[in-house]
Amino acid sequence: MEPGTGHLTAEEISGLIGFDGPGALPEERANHARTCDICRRIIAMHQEEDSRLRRLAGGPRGTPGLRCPVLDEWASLAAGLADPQRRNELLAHASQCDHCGAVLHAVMEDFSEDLTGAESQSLEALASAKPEWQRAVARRMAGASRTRPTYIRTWLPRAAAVLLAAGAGWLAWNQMARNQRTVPDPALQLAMAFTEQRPFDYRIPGAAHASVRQERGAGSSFGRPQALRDAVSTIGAEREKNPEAVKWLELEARAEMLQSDPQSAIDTLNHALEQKPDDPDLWADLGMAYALRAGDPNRRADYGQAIEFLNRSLQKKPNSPEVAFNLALVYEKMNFNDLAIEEWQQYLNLDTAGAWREEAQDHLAKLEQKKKSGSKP
Amino acid sequence: MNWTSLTPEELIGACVESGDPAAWEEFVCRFRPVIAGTVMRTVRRFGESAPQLIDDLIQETYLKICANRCRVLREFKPQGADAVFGLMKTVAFSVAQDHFRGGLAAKRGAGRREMPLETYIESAMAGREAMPPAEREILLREIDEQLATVSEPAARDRDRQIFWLYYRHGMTARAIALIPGIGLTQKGVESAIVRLTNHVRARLADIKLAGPEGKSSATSL
Repeated sequence: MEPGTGHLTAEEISGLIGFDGPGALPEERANHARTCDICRRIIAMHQEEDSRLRRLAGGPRGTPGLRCPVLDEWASLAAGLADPQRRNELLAHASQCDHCGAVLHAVMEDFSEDLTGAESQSLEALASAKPEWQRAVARRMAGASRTRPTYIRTWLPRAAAVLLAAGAGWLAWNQMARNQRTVPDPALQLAMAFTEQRPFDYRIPGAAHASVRQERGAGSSFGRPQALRDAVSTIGAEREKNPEAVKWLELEARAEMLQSDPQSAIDTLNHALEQKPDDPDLWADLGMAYALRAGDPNRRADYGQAIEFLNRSLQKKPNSPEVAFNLALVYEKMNFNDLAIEEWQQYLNLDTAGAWREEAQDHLAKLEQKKKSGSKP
Repeated sequence: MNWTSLTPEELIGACVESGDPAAWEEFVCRFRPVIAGTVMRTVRRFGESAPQLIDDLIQETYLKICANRCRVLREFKPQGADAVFGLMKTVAFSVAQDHFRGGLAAKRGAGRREMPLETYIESAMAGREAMPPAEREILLREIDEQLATVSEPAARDRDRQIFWLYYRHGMTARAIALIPGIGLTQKGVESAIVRLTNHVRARLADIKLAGPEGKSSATSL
């Protein structure tokens, strides 16, 4: 009670409004609250402010900004896997970001609430609850856990076919190294290997233009350019010394893509992103890895992932020709012709001369021709 | 070998080292509730509940775990009793998200700034009454100014985060208390929210009573 007035105290008003719904007052105080104009007015104002506070959580949540962490980071936080410093950064971000706060809300609910009876029933009704399903998956896991890289088991049948290519690759590599008079770093080695082999149509950073030659050396270490083998060796040694270094993880992922292993590249890049979640180069590589995995007819949905990560990278580094090139290609593969045309045009603004530009012009011309003729994708 | 008697960490070590199908069978059985639960809840946020899809994503989670000779498990360094279960949740979550984000992005045409997370996020915030965006922005700013003065400096950041997680993002006090690193029980979170709310509500009422001239109010509590 406020001295000399009988008006409700702040605590009484707080209790009346309540935390999870209206509370009650002793009868005498409740009578005062009903009959005192001042208290009624103040209570009404507090109720109104309370109502405004509770409406803050409604409405649209917007799209992620450039500084928003990737989704998996929120899962790591909710699962207790984030380190303390990152955890604090994430919490500070979530509290101020409508988009990420909503993600954290959902993930915390899903990760921390016990299964309800109905949920448990639903799970028990699934095929995966049956022992035979579990046995079959366990057998697959046991097999996969023992799997070694395929080239170890398959090199014999391919060796003869690739000897010539390996020799040519070695010569080309030596020639390039001699020309440079220095031992190039692994990033350059990978770029050279790409140019020598070009196993896919996407671009990797720093690589000179070449025509796509997807058939050569696939699956066999002997069919791979010497530059690639040297790069793999260097990267492996550096990873042994410093397993968490983002630079080597990124190069390892690139090497994995050049060795037709986009799944490993995705895993490697996700691991790197755990340490450097805002890195546009990692996003660019991850986008390319998803695009490569989407080459599998059963994984075409990965093109959507590719678009998402390539766009993220471009938002941060809008003048990267390699990323714009790759994004245009992905749009084209998904038959998003208008988006592809727009992206190729943007690419041509970034790349004013050279063979990559000519390739982009070819793509653009074909798409425009297709659009003009009204042909369906 | 009696695989069921092993701790989760020991079981994982046995699976990775031995590759014994029986060990993996125990692995599948033991971690299925947490994997299946995470997949099912994530899937439902996208408006799906088909058992076949849930089973497929559960299977995909297991295969992702053992991909690259169990790289996920080999590189994992548990830092707590339930860390292994946390790892399973994150992998299952990632697999389910990958499925939908890829699919939705493809369906919508995925322009440069379009993020196919809307469906997921809307599921967390659905059914809440909203206020006009401009009014909301002003209110957020006003409250943030008030929050900067209400707590002791040492607890200010944490208290501010708790307040926004509760009011801005609609999380429950229980969910906030369960966030690793918050360092408060559910009661502690509730107490912080009540204290901050009383302060903020009173200041906002004061601001309203003072009017545009900024006079202070005699009715302030």
